[in-house]
Amino acid sequence: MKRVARQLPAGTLPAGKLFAGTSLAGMLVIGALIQTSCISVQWTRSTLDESIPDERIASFSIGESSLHDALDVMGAPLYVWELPRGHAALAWGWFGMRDWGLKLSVPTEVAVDPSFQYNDIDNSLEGFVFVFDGDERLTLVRRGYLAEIADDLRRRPSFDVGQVETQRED
Amino acid sequence: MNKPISLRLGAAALALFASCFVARETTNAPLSYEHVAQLHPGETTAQEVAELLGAPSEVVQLGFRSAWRYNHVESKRAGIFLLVVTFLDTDARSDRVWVFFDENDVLTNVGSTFEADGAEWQMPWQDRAHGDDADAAADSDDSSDAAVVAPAAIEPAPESAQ
Repeated sequence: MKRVARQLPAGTLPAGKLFAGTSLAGMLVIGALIQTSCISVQWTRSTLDESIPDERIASFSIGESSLHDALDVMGAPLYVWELPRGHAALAWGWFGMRDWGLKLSVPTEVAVDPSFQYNDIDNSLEGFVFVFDGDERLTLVRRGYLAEIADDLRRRPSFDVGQVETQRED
Repeated sequence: MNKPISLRLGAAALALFASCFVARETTNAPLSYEHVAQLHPGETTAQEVAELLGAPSEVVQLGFRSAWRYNHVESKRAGIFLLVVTFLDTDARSDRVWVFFDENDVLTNVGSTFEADGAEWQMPWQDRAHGDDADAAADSDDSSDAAVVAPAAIEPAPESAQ
């Protein structure tokens, strides 16, 4: 078998020479440091529930569609909020993330649980929010991050049909 | 230390340091589709719902009306650790039921979603059987801000025409 010598960049040692002067104990220490996950490259993906395609809401009409229609087509919402003047907001949401990253960490005793909690609206949840009036008629539909929409809706004094916006916000 | 021994040591270290795991986490007991099918708007009372489904996870007051949430979440995680490279995947799906009552505690509406069985153990590079929302989110430019849906999708009431 013919061997081909590789040309390494200046200052780079071949693997054999690199570890030639390293003791077994030293290698174990390096391995242990890596094993404690002080440094790692991560490829992660997290998903929560299935996204709802925009096409599914095409059948809804402001002022006509009812709460019953929404539940029938969209299923059970993730959240239901009470709004002023007898209005109610229903939110359908999902989460999807895929990411590469370099993680540099020092292990501590405090653990963070990344799981979804119903008590707080996670900033990364996307979805649709439908607002219904006291007669359970649809008055507003918005798409985006649920936390942002929730904050905005809670600041609004009312949700009359006349205030429905139809242009995409920048 | 000669080269063959170094290679063997390296291979042994790789084998020792590589690890993987699968984990499953559930929140609340699974919901029964048969029980939900027994709920009849206009007839079933809040007490009957409580007897059938148990205590709700959340109660939301809507003026004089109310809404109860029942949910069950199935979360599946899988990971591989190869020295400094880590692959992690989490897929969480849920069963949810919302029941709405009027001021007399009579059921008015029911919304149900049963997706918990669809949770999967996978690696990040594998496609989800139910569609990959992670890719959809990454590809979508519209997801960056809250927006009112396109007029083509939602028709405003006549008086709101602009």
